[in-house]
Amino acid sequence: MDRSRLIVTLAMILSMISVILGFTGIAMSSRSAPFARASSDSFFTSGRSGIAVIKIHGDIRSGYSTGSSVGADDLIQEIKTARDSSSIRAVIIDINSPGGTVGATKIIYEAVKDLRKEKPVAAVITDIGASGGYYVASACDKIFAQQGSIVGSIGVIAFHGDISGLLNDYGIKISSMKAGKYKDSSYPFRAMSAEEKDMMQEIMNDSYEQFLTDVSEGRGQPIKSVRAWGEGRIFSGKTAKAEQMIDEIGGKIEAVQALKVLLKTNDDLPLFEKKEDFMERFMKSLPGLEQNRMASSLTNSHIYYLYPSSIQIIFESMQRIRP
Amino acid sequence: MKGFILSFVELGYLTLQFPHELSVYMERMPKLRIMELIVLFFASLSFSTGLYQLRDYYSQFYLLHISLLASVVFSFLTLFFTFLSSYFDSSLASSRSLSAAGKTSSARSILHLSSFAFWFFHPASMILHLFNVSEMLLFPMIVLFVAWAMSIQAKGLQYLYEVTWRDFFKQYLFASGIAIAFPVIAVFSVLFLGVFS
Repeated sequence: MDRSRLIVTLAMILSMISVILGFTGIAMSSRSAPFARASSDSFFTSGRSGIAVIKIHGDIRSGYSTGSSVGADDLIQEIKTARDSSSIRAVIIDINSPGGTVGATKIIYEAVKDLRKEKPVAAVITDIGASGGYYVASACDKIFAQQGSIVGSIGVIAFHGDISGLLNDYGIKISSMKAGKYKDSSYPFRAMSAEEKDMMQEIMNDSYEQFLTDVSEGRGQPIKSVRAWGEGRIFSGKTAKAEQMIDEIGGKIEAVQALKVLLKTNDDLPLFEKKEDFMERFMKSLPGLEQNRMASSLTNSHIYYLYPSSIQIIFESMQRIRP
Repeated sequence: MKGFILSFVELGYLTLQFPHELSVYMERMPKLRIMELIVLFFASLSFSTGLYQLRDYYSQFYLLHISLLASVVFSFLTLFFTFLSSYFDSSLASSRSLSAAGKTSSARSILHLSSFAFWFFHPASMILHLFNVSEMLLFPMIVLFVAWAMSIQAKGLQYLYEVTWRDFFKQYLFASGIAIAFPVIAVFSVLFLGVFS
């Protein structure tokens, strides 16, 4: 075989091998690392291991994420992927959330706590990391926030509407039949009795104590100090730093530096973040999905670790009582 | 099997180095149709995988996407080249002489084999991915590969039909125009129907 034949033959063989390897490579990568480069690093750094950025932007709920809220199921899957992926050495939880439902927040807190056992985790609060948002942040090794970020709001809130007056005006009477004294305790067509309020308060107190205990554990602070941050108080990032609610003033750059210290490395660690693929974007763009989520909010708890600036949640909560 | 592989390698060598000799060599080639299908299959797969190789991230759906894209490219090339070869044959028969006609099968084989060029699309994509501007370079790269494939077709068909470059490109542009016009007109018809109904 002459030289030019040999070169062409080799080129053909190499291209065949390259296609096969490329195809299987994509198959392997899709299983192990669905995180994409977040920053515009060069190709040479993208192949290395790096830091995953997991976003919690919007109110926290159970189920799946939509355009305006973060679903616990999706987020936990993302956290597990980051934990299991060999190319992810540390994680940044990018928080911009006023909190959300009690159950979903607690599940995410536990998932982040588990992740922290395996890899260093830092929380970065941009505008707001209040209530459930702060709850999740407290599970991280380090918390960063901007000077003017809203932090705190450790507390529990619930909404109950009484539209009996409105119904009376329209001459509508709705009655309930029940077996069990408190079965209709959150019934929106009458005011809550003192006993029912006490019962609800007891649940909320339990959730509040759980909140304090978890923050205390996560931050490594005595519960007495955490109690002083509580009662629903909100703090600026600057005050939160002084109160040791957060570790440093800063954003992702500072968080990366801190994570490098925890990892004891000077390597250049690119940021990776999960990108939605075509099908996920398509599913989220379906017009019925937001309405379905509103409908599914009926199955959510109406007790929130929430800084009540989220008008949407309050409206949704009110929607529960729509006759 | 060994003979088949050696013939295949020889076919690849001729296609990439001396495409004008294809029309002579093909007549002696056993199982040419199978070889054409292998060439088309790998070209489609290389093109599809190469496109996805340029991305920063992958998801589970991409295996399905790549397979679907490869199938679509494979079908498109097969149909397009069938149409193109028939068009060449009929147009040359009417414009030149009947002796120029009757070579549809050989013309189709040359067109199919020209997709050998796209075997190198995936390796080229891997190199392109080394740069941050890979998205910007993608289109020029596709144009280059199409030009390469077209030059193989031009050389091969020029010798098969004994036509000039000018004639070849005129026919090629006509045929491509008609082939592209069909779906475009169909889509626009549907769009117009949708808008005015």
